Amino acid sequence: MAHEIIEKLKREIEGFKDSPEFETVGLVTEVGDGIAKVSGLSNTLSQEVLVIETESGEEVSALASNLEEASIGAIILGNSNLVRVGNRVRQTKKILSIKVGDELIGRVVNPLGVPEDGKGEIFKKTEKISEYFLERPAPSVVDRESVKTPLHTGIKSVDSMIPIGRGQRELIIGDRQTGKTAIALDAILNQKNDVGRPPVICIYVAIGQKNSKIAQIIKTLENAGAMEYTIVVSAPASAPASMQYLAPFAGCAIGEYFMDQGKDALVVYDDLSKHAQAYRELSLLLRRPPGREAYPGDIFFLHSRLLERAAKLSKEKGSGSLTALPIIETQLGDVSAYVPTNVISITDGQIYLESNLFYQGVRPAVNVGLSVSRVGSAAQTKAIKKVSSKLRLELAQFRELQAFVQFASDLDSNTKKKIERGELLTEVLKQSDQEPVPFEKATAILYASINGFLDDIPKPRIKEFENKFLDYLEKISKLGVLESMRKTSELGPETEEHLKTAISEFKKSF
Amino acid sequence: MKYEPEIYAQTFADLLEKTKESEQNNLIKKFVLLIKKNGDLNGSEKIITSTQNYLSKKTGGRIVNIETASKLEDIDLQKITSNFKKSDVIKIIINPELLAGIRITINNEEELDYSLARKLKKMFNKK
Repeated sequence: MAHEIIEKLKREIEGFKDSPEFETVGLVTEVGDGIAKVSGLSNTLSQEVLVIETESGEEVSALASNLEEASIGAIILGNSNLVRVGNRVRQTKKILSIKVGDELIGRVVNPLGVPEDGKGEIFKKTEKISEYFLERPAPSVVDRESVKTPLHTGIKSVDSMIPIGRGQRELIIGDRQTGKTAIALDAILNQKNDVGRPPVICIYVAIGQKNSKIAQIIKTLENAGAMEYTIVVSAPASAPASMQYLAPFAGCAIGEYFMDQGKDALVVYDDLSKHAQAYRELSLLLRRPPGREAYPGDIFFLHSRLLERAAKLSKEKGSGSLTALPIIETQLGDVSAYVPTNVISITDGQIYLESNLFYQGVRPAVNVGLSVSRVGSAAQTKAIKKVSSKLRLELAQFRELQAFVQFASDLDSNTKKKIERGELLTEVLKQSDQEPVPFEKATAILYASINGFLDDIPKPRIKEFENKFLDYLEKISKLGVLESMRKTSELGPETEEHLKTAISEFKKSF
Repeated sequence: MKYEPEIYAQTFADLLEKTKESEQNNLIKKFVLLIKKNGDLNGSEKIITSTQNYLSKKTGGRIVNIETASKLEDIDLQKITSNFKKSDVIKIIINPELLAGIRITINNEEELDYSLARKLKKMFNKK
């Protein structure tokens, strides 16, 4: 037995041919805090993956970031504790990329595409894998089309007044604990209910969050059956800043793969404030000059080049879309800080969440006055559009009169009515966490409330009315109101009549 | 460091060019005093390397590092060094990690690796 092995080894050595040639090589001259300074390798590309040969024989990859005259500043992507001064560095001639394919769906990966869910290897069918660069130019003007298909979030106030279209970038902004992630999660969960339109593949990018929170989110998605069409890119608070910096780009690259396949994708960046902090950390360590709030000068470009990649592609390019829902956490409601203003100006609108509303029990705590959607109304279904304009107006009037609520008894009847209607609408727009409402149901209940059908219902019973009425429409009523709206996305005269009849009939039994 | 080693190197080399040979010693002394005054003596090794690189680049020479696992015979060494120009700066380094053979690095950028360590690594990494 031993003899056979020795013979095999001999044959292997005899057959081994090696003809070394001149190779380009670099040397690590400084290392620390996940950053390595490398001398040599003067023809390295920006964002190229370098390989550091450590003393233990393990190869650690690094990302070329700062290309200077005599050296390179590289971000170490692996175990930086292994890297020592004097280690040799080699080029790979490869720009940082991630493996993408349909098999990614339902998986949890890190920003380099390594599975984090313990479910083993991701790609089993090798023919369906593509490599996508993490940094890619955004689709050009010619390749784009205007947003026209709605992306329903299942949140009544958002779908009616701040509509989001497929290919749009809508910012979710608010203080801590105001329900920002909950809105994004509801949007993911609702994609299951949104039949009649092509399905949406969702990508949830967790940046700098607690591991426990990420685990909870994954569990929520799994329990709701949403992981069947969702991918989670995880870069928790325990991950190095380099991973947190790369995470949104990895999520975007995955989204682009599906967009290029002609599919619709939704990517949630939770959150870009922490992303900006991770980038600030890296930039300072790379000794780039600090600017306002110590952020580097290209912090705007960092987010704009990321969010510009969200697009609705033209027919020639396959009609795919990538919708982006970036999240920004403000400090004490200060939206005029550096990063929030940057992202507000980049996106096509924002959903503004307020702590005060949250504590008053208005949940989701959306401030409809400050929230806007610049392009979404073009994508809104005709059914919901019919109720939204009146809803907006009534709520705006209510906001103006809100200060007089305390003196309600001294007011004239018209003002009183407006205040009561506003309170009613606020009550109707409230909804629980993880209970997205399909657009046809939202249309039905909003129609009933703005047309005065709910005026005689006491406020505490509004929720009960809504639940029972929507159940009635779905299961008992034979007029097919919801089905008709689902099919046509319209609230035509006939359906409207049917809806009125259904409301009257239901009210008799309520 | 107050200034990058490359800046020190460039300044020193430029001054050296303008200085008469008789005053070069004086220049070196003053240069060291300046480094001390700036508190950059800790980085002196980097400054020397940078100066060496800069000077050799200016004269059209190269920095050649010849690494061997054990000390070479004079005849072998001469054979190897005869392949390089007079303006090249040649450094001989004994590096037992190579196990056997030789590794030549030029300008810390290009490398010709004829060491046993590399051969073994390549053989065992072969798939």
